[in-house]
Amino acid sequence: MLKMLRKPTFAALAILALAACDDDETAPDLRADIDYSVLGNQTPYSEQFVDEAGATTVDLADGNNRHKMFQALNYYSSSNITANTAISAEQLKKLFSNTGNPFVDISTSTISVTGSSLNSSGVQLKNVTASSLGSGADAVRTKLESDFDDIATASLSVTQVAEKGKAGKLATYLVDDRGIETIQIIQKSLIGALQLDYISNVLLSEGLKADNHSVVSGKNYSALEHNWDEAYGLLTLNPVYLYNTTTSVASTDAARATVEFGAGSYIWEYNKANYAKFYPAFLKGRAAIVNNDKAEIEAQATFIRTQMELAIARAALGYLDKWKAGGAQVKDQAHAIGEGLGFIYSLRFAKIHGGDAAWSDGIINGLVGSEFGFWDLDVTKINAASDAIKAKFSIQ
Amino acid sequence: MSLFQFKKIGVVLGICILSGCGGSSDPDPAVDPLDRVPMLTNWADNIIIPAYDNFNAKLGTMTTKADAFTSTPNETTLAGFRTSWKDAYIDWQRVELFEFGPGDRNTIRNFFNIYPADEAGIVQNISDPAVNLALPVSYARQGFPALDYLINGLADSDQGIITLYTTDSDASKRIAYIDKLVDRMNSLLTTVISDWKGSYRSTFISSTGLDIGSSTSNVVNAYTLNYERFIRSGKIGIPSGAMTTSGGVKYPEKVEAYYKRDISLTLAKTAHQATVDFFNGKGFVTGTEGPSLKSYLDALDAKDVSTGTPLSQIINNQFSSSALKFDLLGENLHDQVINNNQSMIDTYNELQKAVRMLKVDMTSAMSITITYTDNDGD
Repeated sequence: MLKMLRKPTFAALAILALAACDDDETAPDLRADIDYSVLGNQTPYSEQFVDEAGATTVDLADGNNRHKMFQALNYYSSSNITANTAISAEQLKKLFSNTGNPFVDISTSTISVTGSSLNSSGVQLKNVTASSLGSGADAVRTKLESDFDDIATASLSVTQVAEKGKAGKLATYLVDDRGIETIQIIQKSLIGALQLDYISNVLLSEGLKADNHSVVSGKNYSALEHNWDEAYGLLTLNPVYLYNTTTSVASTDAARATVEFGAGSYIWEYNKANYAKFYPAFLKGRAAIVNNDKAEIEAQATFIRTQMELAIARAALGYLDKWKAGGAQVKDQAHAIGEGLGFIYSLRFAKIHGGDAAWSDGIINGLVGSEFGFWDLDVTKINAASDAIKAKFSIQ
Repeated sequence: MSLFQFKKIGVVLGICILSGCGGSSDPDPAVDPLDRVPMLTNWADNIIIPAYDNFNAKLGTMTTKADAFTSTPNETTLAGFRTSWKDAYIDWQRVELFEFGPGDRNTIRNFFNIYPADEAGIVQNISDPAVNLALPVSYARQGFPALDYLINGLADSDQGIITLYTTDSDASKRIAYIDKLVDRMNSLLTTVISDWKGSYRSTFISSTGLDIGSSTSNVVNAYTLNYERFIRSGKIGIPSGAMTTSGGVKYPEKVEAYYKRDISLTLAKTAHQATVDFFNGKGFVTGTEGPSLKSYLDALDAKDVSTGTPLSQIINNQFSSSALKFDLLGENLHDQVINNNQSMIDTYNELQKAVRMLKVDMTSAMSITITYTDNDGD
């Protein structure tokens, strides 16, 4: 229908196209248009985008493989902490860069990883981490690798009880000599540096300029289609993100119908107003790519980016509040601030809201920049951090 | 949870039909029972601010009596300090539930009423005049519980206590510590009250949403948390060992006002009554009910679908059942745990029944998210 409408204006468009050196308008669309109203919000993603022969044009492998690498990296630390065994910084660095066949099989109630397929996947976490920053990415990658060193050092005290100036465990949480729960710093920093940055600041921004008029050699998708699908695959492993999930008053995972990890779970937990709109937005944006509907692509990308940033900001605020919450024990406070600090680190990638490294580092230093870090925290420092985040994100 | 869901949807739809769901062209707020402005206003003007004013007066009296004691420690001034401490502690129970807005920002509870008192930490702080009382490690070394230890628990006899403030080598340090604690309580309370009377009141009333961070959400979360953790668990559950986490181990030394002992039931009953009165929107001074959680739940028509009983009535009935259990306890909960703990456990079990009603049924009916738990498993 859209193509029929274009015919009468073809000449005018051709002139415009020449003037603007923009061949998008003249090159034929790759596929027949998709009516947005037929998109199924409870129908698997890959089923909804097919070529003329009915074969899916979606390949989620790259995104899903990185998502699983993130899970595996986290599981390596968490399983050692649970087992009271040492963590190797070298192993974490190998998992981060996918060198030396580092991945092994993992099968738990929430993680299913086949080591050999990740090892041979051809993708890694490190080279996309903070990649929107160009040469600035090195500082982020180096910081994460120093976190690996930190958690390895702390893990040598995994059988000790932590106290001020001394690494060890607070209940089940392993903290370093400044009371910082490094596994949370790593995991929550990667929500920003890996997921938010690569999804929002690369794939759904610069990535939207990719070619959409020819399929990638040997593949069934265009480069633009694949960028969008990679974003979806890095967010979730599920065919339908948050399938059949409703808001729960208790905010527990048990109330969520699908297992989500990383950014995907915090979007649900900390953006109650909008989490249910994420999957429809991914579908509509993907259909808009098929339709070459640039305004719609942009609208959906902006929605996803904005709301993911807000979820992470609210998560940071939520954990700062949990430090304050009446009845919070030292272990609860340490865990809350570990999560909170990681989310605050991630806010440097919230580019739509103007987050940057200096701003984020300033908040972190204000919280735990003193000699004993966590052990020196008081409510004044927590309030200052909350106020700064609320101001930046216009949160009440 | 879902018990109340259906009815709620029914009434929301009903209201939509009447008003046309016109977004900004809502019906006259004066006739909209779901308008939260009157409820927020009633809370601020008729309950929270007057309750803080009342407590502030009691703390003022305690401060005068504390000064009299620290300037001239003797049996008379000690008795005066103790009485004023008890009176202030009782009326603290009527504001402790307001841990939202300025109370939350300053985490005033953490500095007023974390018990059991940390005896060794208090001794350590007394010897260090520069100690930072803002750190979490100092929570249990200040406020009412620390004062309880300092005026009721330092020695077996009154004369023994007075000696520690007169002729003992550390007497002046102890006096300085009492002064420091009382000053700190005053300055924190002044901050909270001036925030309420300053810009926060209008901020509070104008935040009319139900989302996380809105006034109603903050209030309901703080209210429920206070009931669950500080009344049910703190005052009854932990000392009696009724909590599943304690494995049945009794901790009589963890009762509130452990050193004074014979006011622990009064403190618990006062806190419980404050919870009931707040639910019903009862004016602190007037005693008259205004817009409240009760009237809001009624406006939502939240009810048990099988019996038709309004949720607000179910909750009030449960509060009454709990109050009857309190009446069976002795004034000294420490002795109660030791001599007849079953009645403590019975009280706990009764209090527990309201947790679900408030935390699940009420929040579900109101579309409020509980934010203070962290159950995401990592």
